[in-house]
Amino acid sequence: MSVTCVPIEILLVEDNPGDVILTREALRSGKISNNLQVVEDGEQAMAYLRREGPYADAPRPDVILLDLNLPRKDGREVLGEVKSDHDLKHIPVVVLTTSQSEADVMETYGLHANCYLVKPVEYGPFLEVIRSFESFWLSVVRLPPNNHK
Amino acid sequence: MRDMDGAIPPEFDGGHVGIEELENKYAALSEAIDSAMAYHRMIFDADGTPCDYVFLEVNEAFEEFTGLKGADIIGRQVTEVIPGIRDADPDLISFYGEVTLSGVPKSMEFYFSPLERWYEARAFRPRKDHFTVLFTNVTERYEARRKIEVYARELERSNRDLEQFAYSASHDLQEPLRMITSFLNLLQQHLGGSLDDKGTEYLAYAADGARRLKAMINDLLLFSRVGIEGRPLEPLALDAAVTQAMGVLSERIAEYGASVVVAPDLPKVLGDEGQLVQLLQNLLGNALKFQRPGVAPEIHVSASREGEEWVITVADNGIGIDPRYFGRIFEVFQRLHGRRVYDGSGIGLAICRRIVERHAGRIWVESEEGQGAMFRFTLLPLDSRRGE
Repeated sequence: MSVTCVPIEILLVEDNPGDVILTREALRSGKISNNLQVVEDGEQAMAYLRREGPYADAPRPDVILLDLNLPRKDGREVLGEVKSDHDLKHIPVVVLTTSQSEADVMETYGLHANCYLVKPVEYGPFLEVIRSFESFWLSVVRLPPNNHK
Repeated sequence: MRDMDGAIPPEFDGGHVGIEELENKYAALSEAIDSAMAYHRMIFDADGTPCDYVFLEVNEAFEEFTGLKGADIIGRQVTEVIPGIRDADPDLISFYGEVTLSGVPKSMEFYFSPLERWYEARAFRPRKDHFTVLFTNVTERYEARRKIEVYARELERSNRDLEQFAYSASHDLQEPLRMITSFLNLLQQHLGGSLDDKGTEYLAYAADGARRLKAMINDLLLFSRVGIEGRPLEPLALDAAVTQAMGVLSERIAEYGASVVVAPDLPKVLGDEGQLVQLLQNLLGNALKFQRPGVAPEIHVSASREGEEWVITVADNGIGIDPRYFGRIFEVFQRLHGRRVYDGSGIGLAICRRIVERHAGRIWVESEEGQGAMFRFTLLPLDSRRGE
């Protein structure tokens, strides 16, 4: 059986409810079947990934969409922790953020993000970015083996 | 004029009668002027280095200025009269010494704290081994100059603060704007089919408003970047900047069948190349945009030297500008025509002015409605003593 029949588990770490809706909409209308889980800050993200507290039964994500500017623990810290955690570091982290600053791009790749995407202002281009993310990261790319447990 | 013993020195002794008259005039003048005056004889040490001086003559203003009485100090050395002088002002004697030795007059400014005033001391050598000093109260002039310097610094800081604010605000405004634009898009998609004509129209106005807001925020960012991201002025060839600007506009130039004539003798100037290209692009772009209907745009770029500056002119044959608006057009977001006729948010010329100001220049326009326009601005030549 082809692995692509199983929906891809995506963890979205995003504090802006508007952006959550936009991302969810864009992913829902795409071609590749996926389940989107959302947490709104860095603390929750780590709890989710470590399956602590309310997240004890959470599936392990196949890929993480991470905003940089988050309340409490921010995206850069999450990135650093994920990429130095033995059990989590293989999960691709795709940074999706508004910042275009060169300093942020450098720092993010320096923390071993798998790639850096800038959120466009208008919805059409935003949709295209999500489509590109899908067609590359969810279709072309071979993701790490994951039984989601 | 007489020496210490009251005798007339041989070099002045041309005839007693004339001398008396001159002396009276001199005495009258010396007492009448407000400036403190003192005449001295320099004293040299064994190496010929000036090390002390003798007071020979002082005027009333000097007595008031220093608190020293002429009668007490005439014939005495300054190190006697003001014992601490070498420590208090170590350079004073060598300053006067230089003048005495070279014969070249010199000035210096100093602050006299007992009177809380600024003085200019002007020393000259009227006769070998002697020097005269005139002290003028320059407090007013000095304070005025300092005030200007303080204002200039304040203004510069205020400008920088405003730019930082505009820059940050523009950045912070982008996120809510993104929400407005994205969800209007989504709304149009979501409702598209089920909307009546009015609904569609309302949404279109909202979306257009958001689009214009985005353009204005971008423009504000561009405007604030002129100061924030400006680079130091360097020598550059103006014709290269013109060529670059024309390159960016090449498609539109071809499309309108426009002719752009650039004078062959454009000078080298002091500038930030990126910003000058931006400036020229804006001016040439405007010349292309505001063309007379049915008349192909003709644009001339030329330069002429006027004193300490180069005056650059971009002249066109377009619709021209009513002189009433010559000042307004350089302000932020000022537009003279309806949006349907000519597009643009109205910041292009404000950016041009900011760039020119950064280059220590001025920009202005000469025009009449229907007669085309000449935009002129000044830049610093390579041999300028000004510049940032």
